[in-house]
Amino acid sequence: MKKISRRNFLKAAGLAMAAVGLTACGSSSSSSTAASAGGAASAAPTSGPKMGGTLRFAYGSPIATPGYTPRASGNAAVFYLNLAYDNLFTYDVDGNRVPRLATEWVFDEAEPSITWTLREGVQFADGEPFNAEAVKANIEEYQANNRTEVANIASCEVIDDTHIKMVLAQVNSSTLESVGFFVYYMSPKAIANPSSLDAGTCGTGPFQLSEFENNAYAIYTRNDNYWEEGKPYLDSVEITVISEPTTMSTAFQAGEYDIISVGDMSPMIKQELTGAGIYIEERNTNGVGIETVGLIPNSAIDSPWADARVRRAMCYAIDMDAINAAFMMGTAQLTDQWAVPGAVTYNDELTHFTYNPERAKELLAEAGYADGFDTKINAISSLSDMMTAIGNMLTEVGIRCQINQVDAATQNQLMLEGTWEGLMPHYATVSPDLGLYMGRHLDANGAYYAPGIQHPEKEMELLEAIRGCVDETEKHELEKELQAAIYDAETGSCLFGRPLFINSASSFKYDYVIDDFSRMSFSASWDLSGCWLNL
Amino acid sequence: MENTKKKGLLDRLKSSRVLRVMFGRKIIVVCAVLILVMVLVAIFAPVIAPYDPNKDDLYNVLKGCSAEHWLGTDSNGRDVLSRIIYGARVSFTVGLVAVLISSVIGMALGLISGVAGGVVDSVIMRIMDAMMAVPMLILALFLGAILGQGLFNVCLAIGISMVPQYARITRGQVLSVRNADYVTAGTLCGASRVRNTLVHVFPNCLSANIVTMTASLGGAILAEANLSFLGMGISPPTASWGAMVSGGYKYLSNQPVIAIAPGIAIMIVVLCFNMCGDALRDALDPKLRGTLGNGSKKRRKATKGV
Amino acid sequence: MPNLLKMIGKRIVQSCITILLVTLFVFFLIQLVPGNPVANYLGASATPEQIEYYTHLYGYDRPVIVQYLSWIGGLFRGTMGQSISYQSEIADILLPRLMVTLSMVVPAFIIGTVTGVLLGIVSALNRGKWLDSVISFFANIGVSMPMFWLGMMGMLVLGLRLHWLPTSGYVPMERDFGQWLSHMIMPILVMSLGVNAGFLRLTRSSMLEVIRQDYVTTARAKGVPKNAIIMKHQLRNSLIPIVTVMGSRLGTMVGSTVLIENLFVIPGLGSVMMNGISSRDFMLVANGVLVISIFVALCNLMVDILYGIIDPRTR
Repeated sequence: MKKISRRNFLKAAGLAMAAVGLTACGSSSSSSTAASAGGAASAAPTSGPKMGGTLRFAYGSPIATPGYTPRASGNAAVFYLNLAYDNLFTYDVDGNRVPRLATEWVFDEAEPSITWTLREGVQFADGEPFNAEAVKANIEEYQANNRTEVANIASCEVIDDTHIKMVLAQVNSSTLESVGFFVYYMSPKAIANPSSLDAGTCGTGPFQLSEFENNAYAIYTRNDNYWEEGKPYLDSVEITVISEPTTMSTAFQAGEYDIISVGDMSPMIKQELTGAGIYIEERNTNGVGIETVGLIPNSAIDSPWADARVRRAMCYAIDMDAINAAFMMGTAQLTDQWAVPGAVTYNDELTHFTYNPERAKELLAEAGYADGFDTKINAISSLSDMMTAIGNMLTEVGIRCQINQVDAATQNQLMLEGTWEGLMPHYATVSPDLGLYMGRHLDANGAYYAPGIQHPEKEMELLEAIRGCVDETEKHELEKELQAAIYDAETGSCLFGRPLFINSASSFKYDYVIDDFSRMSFSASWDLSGCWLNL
Repeated sequence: MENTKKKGLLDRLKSSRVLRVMFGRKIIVVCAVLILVMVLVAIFAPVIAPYDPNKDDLYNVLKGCSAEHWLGTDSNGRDVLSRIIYGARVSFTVGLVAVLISSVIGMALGLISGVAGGVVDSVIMRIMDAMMAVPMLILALFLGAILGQGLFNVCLAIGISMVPQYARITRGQVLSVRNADYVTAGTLCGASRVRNTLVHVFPNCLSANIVTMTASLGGAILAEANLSFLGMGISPPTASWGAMVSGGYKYLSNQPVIAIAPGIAIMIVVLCFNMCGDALRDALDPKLRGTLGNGSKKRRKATKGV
Repeated sequence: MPNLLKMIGKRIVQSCITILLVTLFVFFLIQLVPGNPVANYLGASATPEQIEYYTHLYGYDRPVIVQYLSWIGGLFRGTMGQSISYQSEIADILLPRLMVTLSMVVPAFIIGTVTGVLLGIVSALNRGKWLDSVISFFANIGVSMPMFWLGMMGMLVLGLRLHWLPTSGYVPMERDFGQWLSHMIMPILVMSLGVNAGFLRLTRSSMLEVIRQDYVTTARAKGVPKNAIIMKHQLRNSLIPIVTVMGSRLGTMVGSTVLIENLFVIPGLGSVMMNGISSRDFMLVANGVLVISIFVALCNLMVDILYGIIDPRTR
């Protein structure tokens, strides 16, 4: 149980941010600007944080319920939740857990249970104290909303004001992460009166919601009750929802926003902003919350895709380097399995797929499709250019693809029911812990994609073994074995088709925005408690 | 007046006056020629286009204008000029098919409604009212979401959303001629109701509808562009001007030509159709007025379609 | 006058029937749209239990007809129902957004109508001259451009290149009127251009139609000054067809806010409808269409009243 004080965490993150600033701006003349901004972030002894001001942030994802946190699920919500609420722990720049509302925790495998020591002297925005009773009330509220994160908690025992024990239904190593990071604590008074959270917040965070228009904007103002002395420095934070990246970048460059979020799928915009040399790029480096995009065949429906050789043929027929060059300007980080290269669950030893149309044709012939077959790629409009290019590559080897453009809602439906015909994009969270993240797709009862793929015995047994395994090292070995079983180019079952690239996002900001810690701890988060504007 | 009305539409078009009025202005001649050229381009696209419009060149994307690629290449390295040339096919198909669908269904409903009267009339017209109470774009969006993407589905969505205007115009026309002498004469001569409708009533509804059809050709092409912008257009990789504009939006600051060029193509085609539609209306109008000038109610029907 | 009142009464009844039909039509049409509102709302991490729980919570597991009746019943009790994607009462979402949309549509409509009618008169009076050709030509270009394309061009030139106006976004009027105005100028101008061109063409043709009418010739023969003829006879009578299309024009404009609000990131009715459709929030979309159709019906009703006042023949 390694404890890291908040101050050390901030120092580490600040240094890392300076480094990111430097790499983002390359060796051009602008690096001095970035370095000075970074320097101010970590040291800043001369000027010190300036009080006041409004930070204007443009973001692509809306939130429906900024106040009632059990209904705010998904990674995209964290940017909002971070402002008004806190979780028990967060991550540092290396992906280690660091204290937030909890100062210490003990995972007891034998019982099994987790015992938390809570931070003292913390109050909610309405003046209610944050204590063990409040934690219990929140966990129960999350359970009432059927949130998977808290499903494994059998009961909560309040020991005293600052200690609470959560008894678990079964041993599952992912529970600590789920409960510690994904539950955001609301005032018990507000929980008793949930309508007060319709367009407002009541948490322990540095800001509280003051004005809200769903899918348009959210304005947060300073929480005078915040538990860190003297913070926050900003008066307010304005989040504007802009779903079109071009519009967002245009407005940012015109000075209408101080900081924006740009996805990897908009490489032109990223290149333009980086090329301008005056903006600072911030990017997640610890891999927590990272997602990938792949191409997944429906192997459950009776079609050529039910044959693993056909699925492998598809993987051989895709020229990822060409795709990367054309659509990601060569900047994409590629992966060949359910992990970011370098992660603890990444298997270095499996055979990679290479671009090999001849091998693809051989495999197709082996499977009895020497003359090829007709199939579809179901894709949303933002991916359709790339999918068109991939379709053309597949058509070259005989997998004749037609593009079926669908909207996001239809895509969700296809994932959920597993009824897509042919291929569709595969979105996966590839954080470590395959039992949790891959399990959502691989498990026969998984919510997404699962009904559209086969569930071979070998993979299912490995999944069960991983879930029941408490020893970290042993678990990682099993996870690597599962990677090989699915993703090996020679022998893999190719259940999830071809992973294409890692789809993360960067924040771009002006150099006067100091200490926002965007994307440091989690790929879609920030910490604005110590943020200030050096204007 | 009654005499001219009895003449078929073709006779009227043939009469030199209509053509003289219509093509009297040079700009209309230019527009008509432009449309003709565009139609020819669409038909002979494979011969004219310098490249295969769907051929990717992934190591040659988003290149600006050059001698090889006059209008540059797009996100997939495809030749923009070739895609615009092939895109003409989609635009004309959408225009024609959508207008055909809407006018056939609309005229049929209008005829039935006008001739049958009574309950049938009320039911049909109330449904048309309900459809018209929903803005066309939103209706087309709905239908697009239901039908899914694809060339024919887009035509169908746009076509259905334009049905009510034809139904209304046709019904108005039917009501205005229902009691005219020659229709009564037809009935007296023992012509069946269906025959009488088709032979005597229907031709008189055509001219007003043809004006609307010409005008709505442009509208349908714009509607396709709008649907594409909202992500409900024709499936890729088919080149469609609307999809090209919205796809090019991403690269507006780097390679604006990708979005600007197809936008100008849309503008020119729609402009030409609108100008010709106006000219045709002007040319036919003095004769139409004879049937419209005597009652404000009928005038409203006629102007609704404008 | 009693005739006018009777006519208005009849139109109100008709409008109510139409609106009822719209609700029926839209509600059942929506059921045909593929997609699941609950799955959409919960996102990729949802479990089947969660989906079942929310499906039941929002009543999507009831028969369609029951859902429809409970919606209509709710309307009479003053509730539009709950939006799943926005997690709140639908009236609370739609009404403020309708105001935003109207604050854009109404000025655009007024600007477009006034300039359109004026230019139309100028054009008609100069029929066949170069001024007429120039005006007609630009009017035609105005209606021939895809609205979102024009918006894109404006955004680039006026926003990014010249820095005269913000490229996008919205500031509530009550927070900062100047900011509101600077954000709204571009969308309003883009929207008004379409209306302007439409009314221009209409005014021109209707003026020309009236010029050839007998009473104008008579008035001229009687030696009434030309300007008096324009003002007294021509304009008044030319207005009739213009007034009749006003209602449907406003409806079309509300529809096209889907494009404009998406492009300029304005939190109005159009963008909420688009979000509703893409997130399959069926109740939100049905209510949105209801609001629009009531608005269109009200406009048409006002037009009918205006019409009755302008055109003495209907009295």
